Order: sequence, then structure tokens, then C-alpha cells
Amino acid sequence: MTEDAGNGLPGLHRVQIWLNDPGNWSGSEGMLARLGEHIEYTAVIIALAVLVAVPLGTAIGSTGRGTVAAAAAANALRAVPTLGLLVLLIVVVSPRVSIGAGIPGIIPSGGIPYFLPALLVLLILAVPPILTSTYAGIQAIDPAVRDAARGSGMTALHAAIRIELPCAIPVVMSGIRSATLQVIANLTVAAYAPLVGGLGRFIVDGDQNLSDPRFGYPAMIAAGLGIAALVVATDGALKALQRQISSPGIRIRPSKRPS
Amino acid sequence: MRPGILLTLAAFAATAITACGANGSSAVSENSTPVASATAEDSPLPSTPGAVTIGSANFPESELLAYLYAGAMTARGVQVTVHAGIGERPAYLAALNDHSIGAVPEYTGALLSFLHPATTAKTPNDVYNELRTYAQGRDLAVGRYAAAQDVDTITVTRATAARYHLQSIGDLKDVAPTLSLGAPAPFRTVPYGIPALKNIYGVTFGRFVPLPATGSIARTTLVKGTVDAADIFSTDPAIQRDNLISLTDPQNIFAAENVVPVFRRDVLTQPMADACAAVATHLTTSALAGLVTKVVDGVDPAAAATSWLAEEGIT
Amino acid sequence: MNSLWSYLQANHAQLGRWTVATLWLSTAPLVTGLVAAVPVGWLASRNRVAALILLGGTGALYTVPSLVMFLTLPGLLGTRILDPINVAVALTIYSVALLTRTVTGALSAVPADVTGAATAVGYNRFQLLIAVQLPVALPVIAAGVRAAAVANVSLVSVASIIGTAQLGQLFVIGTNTGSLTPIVLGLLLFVALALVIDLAIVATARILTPWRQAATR
Repeated sequence: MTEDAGNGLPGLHRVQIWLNDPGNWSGSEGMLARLGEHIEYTAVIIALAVLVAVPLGTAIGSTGRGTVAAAAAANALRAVPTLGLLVLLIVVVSPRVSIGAGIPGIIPSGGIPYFLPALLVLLILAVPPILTSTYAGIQAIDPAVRDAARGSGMTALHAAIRIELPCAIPVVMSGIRSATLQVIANLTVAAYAPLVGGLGRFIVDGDQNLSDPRFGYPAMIAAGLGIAALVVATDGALKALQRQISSPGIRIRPSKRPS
Repeated sequence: MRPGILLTLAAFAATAITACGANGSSAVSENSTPVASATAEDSPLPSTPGAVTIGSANFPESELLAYLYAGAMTARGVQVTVHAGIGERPAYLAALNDHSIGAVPEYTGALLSFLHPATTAKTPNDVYNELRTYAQGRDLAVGRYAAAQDVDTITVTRATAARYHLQSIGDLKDVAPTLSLGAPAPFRTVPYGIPALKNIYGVTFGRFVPLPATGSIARTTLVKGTVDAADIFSTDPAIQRDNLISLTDPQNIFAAENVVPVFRRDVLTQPMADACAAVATHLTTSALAGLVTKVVDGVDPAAAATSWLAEEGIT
Repeated sequence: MNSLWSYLQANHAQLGRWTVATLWLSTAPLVTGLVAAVPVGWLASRNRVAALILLGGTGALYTVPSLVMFLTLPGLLGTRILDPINVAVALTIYSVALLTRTVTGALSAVPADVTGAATAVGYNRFQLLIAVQLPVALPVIAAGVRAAAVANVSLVSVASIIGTAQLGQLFVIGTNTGSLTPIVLGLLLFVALALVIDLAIVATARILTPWRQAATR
């Protein structure tokens, strides 16, 4: 499309113009800053999700109790629309939170009433995949290995942390990868909350100001491309990380194990 | 290439109308009388009722207006479908342009500014006449305007006004760089928005926070101090209820914003025009504000519109 | 609870229309997506290079944020900007992305001795796919369709930001009025809808694989 769209919206060629303008990349609201925020938020949320889901998943997988409940909860949560949950939390939380300050570098001042809902929604998205992959990964461990661990005198906790979890790492990492991609994608919906940054800001604001060549449609498309690139890069990086931290003995190639 | 956007918006080859030509026989006493016809020019509109899809922006008052016009038109035999909540002006004008919708309720000043950013018209008559002029040569027909207006404002809490001694927008000049302004995203770029604040009042806010247009999020961010000032539409009951203060606009950066229906020229029929004229003669700012209050309190916009139309004898 | 019920009653006509729209917008793309995903997934299952390209390509499509997709498609397809078909096409693209991966994996997992036996009795590639591989792979494909269904239902609600008439509008109403009732109702209806669709998929899969019921007795 080299022409402006017949309906008055800027044509796709304006995206190139937008991307070539250094003013759109620099500054506290430029592409680089928003990209940085996007990565920052994702990192924080995944870190929190891992802190919650991995211990819980390890406990469930090790003891074998609670799998059905966890699976059911994880499935049910997936059916809840992200936008709806976000809006619910905004309406409930924001009139009740009066914290005026922010957290320098992460949350702009006045932003906490809107960041809390966004954080909660994204945590709810990120925890289930990590949880299910953790307990599934642990349950999939050869029982002989677990027996050996207990047999050599380890306590249940010790065995879980030193033996079971490392064995389950490939599966756990695949869950973390899946959760990370979900969070990156859904940060665009989270930007419906005011002040939440990241590339989603361009998209939600662009949607409200479509015809503007600087803040409208071209910015939306550029941010969309940014997200696509981020997803690809992140997935690649996490795959590499997975290879790094997986013990060579348990990389997933079951057919190569001696029978 | 920015002007190019306006040129491209012009697939609109219009003939403006004021089909409802009667001269100022409205019961309204606000500002000036609604403009006279001046329409001997155009070919008469079709007299069959016809059909139309009327859209709206994504804030409650716009939806309400859509249902008001829809109800009035339905009473005259027009087949009406309402497609509410489309988005901001660029989105619903694009929809109007590509035939997704045939009509939309609008505000004279803001629409004129969008079609002709260099405009300097301020009063209801001037704005309306210029709007009709710019709708000419595009496929748009502008109906009769109502006395009801809903203007953008720069609103602050009473505490903020007291703290910085604010009465008019110009009073913000020294303190604005330390303050934040919340407003719908287009406010950043429309001529009567951030650019006007800067050029006419010398006011530059330290931070601009895009917010969904009016509604509970805009209200909450202002009341809770997430933003120091916000663009709250003048008919929003929150201004009274939350004890807010709309700063005065002595330089008139915000022009007249009379409610007006905009149609695609090829969709408009005489019964549609008559129905909208009927709404225009009855809709005052206080009537509109009253209806908006009901909708904000949870009454369904369609229901609120229906009962008002019946009360006023339009249906 | 009371206000939920009265809201439902007061707006039942509108809600009914929105529910039908949501249902159509989330399930039609599943069907079209699956139809498109089968040949693509089949190609990918046969050839490493094809797999890399096809799975990579569809995966890339999945990364495009939904709002961006909804607003770019009219320009590419020539549809009008508000036409819900844009949402349906976008969801089809996402479904294809998800289901291609599923179909590829499912077809690859069909045991070699089964396909070998079928080839031995004279099935050509097409017959093999239709009569042997797909039926055997069906349970795994069904699981993939269930996952795609849930994702689609959630994505439909995002379309409220551009005014598409579906149940997600309840969330917009809630934001505008600051009222919880429409929001909670919307969440409940979405979850209920996802559940109904899920059950329908499970039932359909069961009907299509009668031999599995026999095997488990």
C-alpha cells in the first residue's frame, strides 16, 4: 500500500517514515524507552511468577497431591478474558488506592493504582503454564531416580531441590518460555490501563488517534513489529538459556537413552 | 505530508444541507439562534424514509446521542441500526468514509477543527457555517445543530485550584511544567488541544497521560491525583459531584461545540433530516447534562433516550 | 448476585445478540483455521525444511498483537474497517498458527507401523492422510483445538476496543460507568461460553473416534 488508505487512515508506507524518524526512537516516550519498559515489566512478572509457581509446582509434583486441582484451576483461568479481568481490577482497585508516589524507573508517579491491576492480570496469565509444566516435569521423572535419591538418605525437600527440579528443568523452561510469550503479548492489552508503558502504549494510544502520522496508526504498526521482533528474540534467548542450564544428561531426547 | 491526510479524508464530495430550514424557531435561549437554512441551493432530499446505520464514539454521551437520533428517525419510519462504541474521531470518520456507517453524532467545533485545522471560528453560528462549507466538496451532510453543547475543559480538583490559585487556564502557566494532564489521546495533536494550550496560553504540561475519553477512569485519575488536571467534558456530572473546578477559557481555545448529526450525503433522506431537526430544537445543554447523568448512573443509553424522546413529544 | 440477575433480565435482548456474535466470532475461525492447518501441518510433518519455514512463518503471525491485526486487515483485505469479518479473519490466522503446530506434532506421532501397514495394503498418500493418519491423530488435534478455542474466546473480547459488538462490550460499559455488575456478568458469560465450546469439542472428538471408546472397555 503506497497510498493513504481510502478511508482516511495513513497508509502502510507511513510506517517506514515513522521508523526512519529518530525522534520516534529517543526520549522517554520513544520506541527504545517503551521497548525497555516492555522488557522490564516482562522480566519482573516472570520472576514473580517463577517465585510463586516453581516451589508450588515442585511440591505438587513431588508429593503427587493436588494435581487435579492445579490442572483444573489452570484451565479455568485460561478461559478468563484478559481485558475483562483488567477492567474489573481497575474498577475495584483504582478508586481505593491513594499512593501518589511511584517507583522511580519502573512506575511513574500516580501509576500504582493502575499498575497493580496490570501486574495481577499478567501474573494470573503467567503462573499457570509455569505451574503445570513444573509439576508435569517432576512427575515425568523416572521413579527410579527419585527412589535412588530418597534411598541415599536425602529428605524429601532435599531430593526435590537437588535432584528432581534439575531433572525437570527442560520441561519447566518450556513452561517459562510459554509464559514469557504470553506476557509479552498481553502487555499490549494491559496498556488499556492508563500510565502502563511498554510497546502496548503505542498500540492503545494509536488506536485512539488513528489518523495522526506520529502518534496514530503508523506508531501502532511499528509497535506491532517491535513486539513480533521481541517475541522472536526472547524465545531464542530462552531456548539458549534452557540449553545452558539443562544438565547434559537429561536433555530431552528420550529415544537416545539406553533402554 | 500531514496536510495530505486531510486531502485524503476528502473523498467526501458533499453538499451541505440544512434541510430543516425553519428559521430559529427553537425554544432555546442559549448563545445565538440556530442558523437559518441558506439552502435554496441543493436538490431536495428523497422523501422515502430510507435506512441508515448510525455510529458513535466510545463514550456514554456519544452513544446517548446516537440513540436519540436513532429513536427520532425510527419514529418517522427510517430503518435505523445503531453501532455504538467505535472509538475516537479518526476511527469513526474512517468508518463513515468507507460506508461502514451512514451517520454519526458530532460536535461542531471539534469536527470543524478536524476537517480544517486552521479554523478560527468560535461562536456557534460561525463554527456551524464554516463546518458546512468544509463539508461541501466532501460526501458529508451536516444536519441542524442543537443548542446543547459539550465542550472540552481543563478541570482540576478544588484542592489543586486552591493550592496554585487557579481560576483560568492561563493561571497554569508557571506551574504546568510540574503537573500532568490527562486527556483522550487525540488531545495531544488536535489544534485546540495541547498546541493551543501552548501557543495561546503559554501552558506546557510536564506530562501528558492518554486516558479513555471521560468516564470513570478519567474521573478517578483526577480525583485520586494520578493526574493533576484532566480534560473532563463539560456535561459530565463528575464536575459537580466530585467538587471539581473547570478552569475558565477567556481566550476561547475551545470553540462552540454544538451537537450536530453528520450523514453521508448519499444516505440522507428528508425524514431523517426532519427527525434530527426535531431533536435539535428540544436538546438544550441542561437536558443533555441530565441525560448524561442518568447514563453515568447506570441507565441504559437506549432506554434513557427513548423516555426523553417520548417526554418531549418527538416520538 | 441480585443485581447481576436484574441486569441480565433488563438487557437480555442485547446480551443475546452479543452472545451469538461472540460464539460465531470464536468458533468459525476454529473450523476455518483447522481446515487450513491440516494441509500446512501435513507438509510440515513430512519435511524438516518445510517444517522450519511453515512453523516459523505461522509462529511469526501469532506474535502480531490482536489490535494491530484487527486494524491492518481492512487495508489488506479491502474490507470495511468495522466489519467483524476482520476479527474473524484475524482469529483464523491465530488459530492456523496454533493448530499447524498441533497438526504437525500429531501427524508425526502416528506410529510408523500403522502408516507402514496402510501403505503396504495400497493406500496412497492422500488416502493415508484422510483414512489413517488424521483419525489416529484426532485426539491430539482435538486437544489443540480446545486450547485454540479458549485463546480465541479471550481474543474476541479485545475487539471491544474497536467497538465490535460482542460480549466484551460489557467491559467497556463497566469502565465508562465505573460499575462492577456488567464486568462481572461479562466475565461469567465468557467463562461459561468457553466451557460450552470446550464440551462441544470434546463431544465432537468422541463421536469422531468411536474406536477409542471400544478400546477402553
